[in-house]
Amino acid sequence: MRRALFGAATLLVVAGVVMTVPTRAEGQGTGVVEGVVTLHLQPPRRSAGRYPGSATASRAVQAVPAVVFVKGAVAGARPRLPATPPTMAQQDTGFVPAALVVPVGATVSFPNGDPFFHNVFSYSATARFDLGRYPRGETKEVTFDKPGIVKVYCEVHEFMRAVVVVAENQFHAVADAGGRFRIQGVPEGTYTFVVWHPDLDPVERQVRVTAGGTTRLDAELR
Amino acid sequence: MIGRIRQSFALKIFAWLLGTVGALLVVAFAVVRSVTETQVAEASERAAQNASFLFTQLEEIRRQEVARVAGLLGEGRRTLAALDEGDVAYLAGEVAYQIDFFGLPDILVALTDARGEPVVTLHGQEPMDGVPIGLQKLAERVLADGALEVRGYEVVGDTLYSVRTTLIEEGGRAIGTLSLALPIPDAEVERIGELVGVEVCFVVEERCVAGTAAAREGLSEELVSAGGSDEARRVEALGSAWSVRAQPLIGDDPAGGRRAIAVPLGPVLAPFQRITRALILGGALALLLSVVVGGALSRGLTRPVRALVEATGRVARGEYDLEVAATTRDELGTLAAAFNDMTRGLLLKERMQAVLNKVVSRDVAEELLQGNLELGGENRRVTVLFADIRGFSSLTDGMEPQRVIGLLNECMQRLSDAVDAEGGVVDKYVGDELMAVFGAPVAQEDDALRALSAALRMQEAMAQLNVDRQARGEPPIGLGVGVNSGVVVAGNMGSNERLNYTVLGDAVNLAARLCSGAAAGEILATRGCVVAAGDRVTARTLGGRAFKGFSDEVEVVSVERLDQQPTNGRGASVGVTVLLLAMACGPRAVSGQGLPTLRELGVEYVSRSGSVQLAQSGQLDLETFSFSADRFGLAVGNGEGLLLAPRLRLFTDVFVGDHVYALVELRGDRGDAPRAGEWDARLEQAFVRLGNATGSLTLQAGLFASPFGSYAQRHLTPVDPFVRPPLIYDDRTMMCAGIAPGSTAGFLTWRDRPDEFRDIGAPPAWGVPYQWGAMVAGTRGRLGYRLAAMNSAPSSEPMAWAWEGERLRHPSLVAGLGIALSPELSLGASYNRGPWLEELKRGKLPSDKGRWDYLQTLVSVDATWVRGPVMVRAEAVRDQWDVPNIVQAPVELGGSLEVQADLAAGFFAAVRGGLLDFRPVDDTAGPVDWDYDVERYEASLGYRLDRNAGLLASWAHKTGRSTLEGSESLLAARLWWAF
Repeated sequence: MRRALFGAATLLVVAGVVMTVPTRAEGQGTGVVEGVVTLHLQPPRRSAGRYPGSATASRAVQAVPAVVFVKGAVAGARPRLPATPPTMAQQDTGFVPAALVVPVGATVSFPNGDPFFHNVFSYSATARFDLGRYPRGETKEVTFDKPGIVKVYCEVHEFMRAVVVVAENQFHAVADAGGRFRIQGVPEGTYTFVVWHPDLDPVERQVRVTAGGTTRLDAELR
Repeated sequence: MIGRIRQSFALKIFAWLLGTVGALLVVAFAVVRSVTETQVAEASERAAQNASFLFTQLEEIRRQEVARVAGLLGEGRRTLAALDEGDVAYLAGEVAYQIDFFGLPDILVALTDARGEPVVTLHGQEPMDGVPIGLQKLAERVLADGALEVRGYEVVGDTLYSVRTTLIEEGGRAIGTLSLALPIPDAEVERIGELVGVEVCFVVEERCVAGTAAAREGLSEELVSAGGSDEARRVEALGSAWSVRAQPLIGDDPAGGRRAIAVPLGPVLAPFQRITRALILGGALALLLSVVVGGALSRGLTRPVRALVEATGRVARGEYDLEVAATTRDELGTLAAAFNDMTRGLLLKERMQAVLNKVVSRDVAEELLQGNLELGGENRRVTVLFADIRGFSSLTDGMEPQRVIGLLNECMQRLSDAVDAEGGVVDKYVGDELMAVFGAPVAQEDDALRALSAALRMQEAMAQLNVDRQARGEPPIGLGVGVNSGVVVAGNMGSNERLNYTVLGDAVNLAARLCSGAAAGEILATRGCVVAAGDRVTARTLGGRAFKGFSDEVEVVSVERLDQQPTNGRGASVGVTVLLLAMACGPRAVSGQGLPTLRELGVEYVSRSGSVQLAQSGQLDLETFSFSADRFGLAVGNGEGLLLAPRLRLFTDVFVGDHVYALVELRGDRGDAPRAGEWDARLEQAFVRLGNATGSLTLQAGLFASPFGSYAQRHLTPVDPFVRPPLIYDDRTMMCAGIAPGSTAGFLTWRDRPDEFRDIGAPPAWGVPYQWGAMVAGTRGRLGYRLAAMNSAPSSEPMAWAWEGERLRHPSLVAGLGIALSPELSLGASYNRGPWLEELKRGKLPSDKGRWDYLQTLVSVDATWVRGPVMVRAEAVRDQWDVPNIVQAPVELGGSLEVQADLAAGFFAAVRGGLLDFRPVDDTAGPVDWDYDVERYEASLGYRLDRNAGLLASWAHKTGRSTLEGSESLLAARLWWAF
């Protein structure tokens, strides 16, 4: 009898504790992080073909914007796969967009929009793929299962390049032409934000996000 | 070692000589010095003593004078009474009278009463006011001590006085004192100083009060400070050395006054200084002499010794024909003579051995020299070869004997070279026949194989000889060879005085019979012999034949050829490939984000606006090749079948704006087509490219890769899936840019002489020739074009031509067109025409033509098809050569087909086939292919570690061309890393 009573009481207590532990439900105490990323970029590098058959004298390597994301996984905020699969198109002998952030497990499609072949590939440790050559209108897909940074190139055109950042959470943004970015729905707390660009040293900063507030994160990359 | 001799021996002599001379000098100096010191001391002592004596004498004289005066003054009754009563006037008068009487005008007289009160004081005859303190003191002392007489020296005014104070008493009662002071004038001192030759000074109360002129002026300091003891001190003053000493004037107490003497040391030292100077001079001379003599002596000794040492070194290296000069008649000369005797003996011995080697083979000579000079033999299994020149007698009918022997020796030289090359022993020459033995006196396992190889070599050598003879218009010489293996009796046969190492037996006779039966150019052997040689031998059975002296028929075969032996470098190459793979895993594990390039690490220059950029980069390739034979395409092994060919390329890219690009490439490798034994570093590319914005027009000039064909664009880039270029760009033909054939017939024999031509022959198009030139190119939409003038022929080895001024007037013309029919399919066509001959090393051009009149014309079409993971490339080529002295220009057709598939990300495989078809050239006997057709099949696997690094391994097999060039295969691997 006493044992049963004791057991029931324990059960009640446990249930109470479980129920009262606050879960990080959506919409409960989120903030916004926004800012401007200033890139101290050197002028774009040029490259040229060394053997006969190269078209132009030289071409500048494609420019890539900065990416802001939260380092590591955030508890209770597993990245959701986006509704429409993200695409990175080959258009006008360039990657569009030049930087893409996707959650772990997302599939990215690489449609060819040019009237000639590209050969998209990456040998990064995060994801290794070679999509071969396919004509305009066709597309190939790659699923990114591991978090990290993937540098994407074209075998045919040496000056094309892009970046795919595979994030462990959904709090990320790609800076626009002016360097501005805005990340919404960040739960209250302190996080390590990483501002990254392939040609410059990354900046990591601890940012405290308050519920309902806007936290400013400005960074300069050199 | 020779340097050490010189060092130690000469050094020893020097050391001894210098040491001795030095020691002597040091001793001499020490002696002179000590003697000098002694002399100085003596002189000083002597002078001091003399001065002292004289002054003492003077003192005595003065004392006596004073005593007389004192006596008179002190003992007169009236004087006494006057003093007692204090009668000053009387006393004064008396004293004055006495002073005048004695003629002492300068004397000081002082009389005191019994209490010491002065009574009368006179200076000369004049009374003095007051009494000099010193005199007073003396008087008091006399009264106090009760002494009868006290002496002292007093300075009164500027004069030194010698004072004598006496007690005046009467009847034991002191009445008073009398002091008499006589001056010591400078003149007096001066005179004494002159006499003795010293400078004197009387020092009272630390002042030189009386003395010689020099003493008072220049030496007073030194003299005053001379102290009181009688020790001589050496001082420097007034420009010379002095010995200074002082003696107390009164007794031993220097406080009362001193007499200081300065003895001039100049004259004393002068002779010793002269001696010292002489010693120094003499010593220096002696040292110099000893150095010179020492040098001469040591050289005289070491030079012959060195010569001997050098000569022994040469003897050790095997040079016996030398003599050492024996010029001196001493022990060294004897040694040199003995050495010469020894070398003469060695030389003689060597000459005898050489003669022996000429007469018998080296192996036999070794045996003989070891003392096996016994008659007798043993049973051995050997292979015997007989070679006989067919129809020699008829050939040399009517020739002079010199020419006969000359021709015979020419043939025999080649034949015996063939035997030596295979390790056999020429037993004997019998007229126009040669007998060789394989397997004796040194046993060999594969003597049958060696013998047959030698036989084949012999036939080949004769064939070559015949070609030359034919060119000279002489008739060919035929050779018949017979080979047999069997058991023979081998040993020294003959008599004790003259013996011969040879073999006997049925096997030998059979070989001889076979030789007789062989036609010109034929090699006959027994079946057993061929079987023993192994399966590399290809022979045609001729069936059984009967030979005289043999009861049974013998199975005879005609030996045709020998297959090349696969080398065992294969294993090594596989090992190296595996090693490269293993090495490659390292960077792969690390790379992840990519191995950094120099540019990423910041090795570049970018101007502020970015319009001027300078970038540094490079690529390192590590290639290995394993050959089955020595010739694979352009890359040549080293006989062991393994070639390691690293290659380092350094690029400097210069960008100016959008329109200007320049490249400088430096390359270090083992040759443009890697060759064993070569290492090369050179400027590979240096060009400037100007392009418009759309790329429809670019101008390029400088040193760059020739734009012919479809291979240049992808060679040494990640796009090329094979290590070696396609067959068309990689295989040497018989065309040699430095040799002009004499006739079509001669030219058509070249294909059977690969040793002479293949190694230096040219492919239809060189892998990628980098040459100076200028190019106009561009792309418009789907169309691409290029037009260039290059300083080379398509087949020329890139560095074969240095910058030749004249060549600039005869450039090659290269033209190319490309069209992208669709994204999948592109077609191209290429044309190249230009002079291809270099400075001729052999042969002559016809008188009406020059080097630049012979052109090579190359036309190619290519197609590329890509889709998904597959790429197909095909190229077909027609190559035509203008060759001197040949009417119909030789042509070859070539083709290549390549299929590449990407198996996974960065992992690909490819296969390729190539064909070279040589077209026939018309000859008197009918059309003949001018070179043997060849096919090549290749497969390759590649793995991309990273964007900048990768691994490639390919295997290629080429079919055999002729009996002399069997099939070849190659395993190649490359690890490349672009930084």
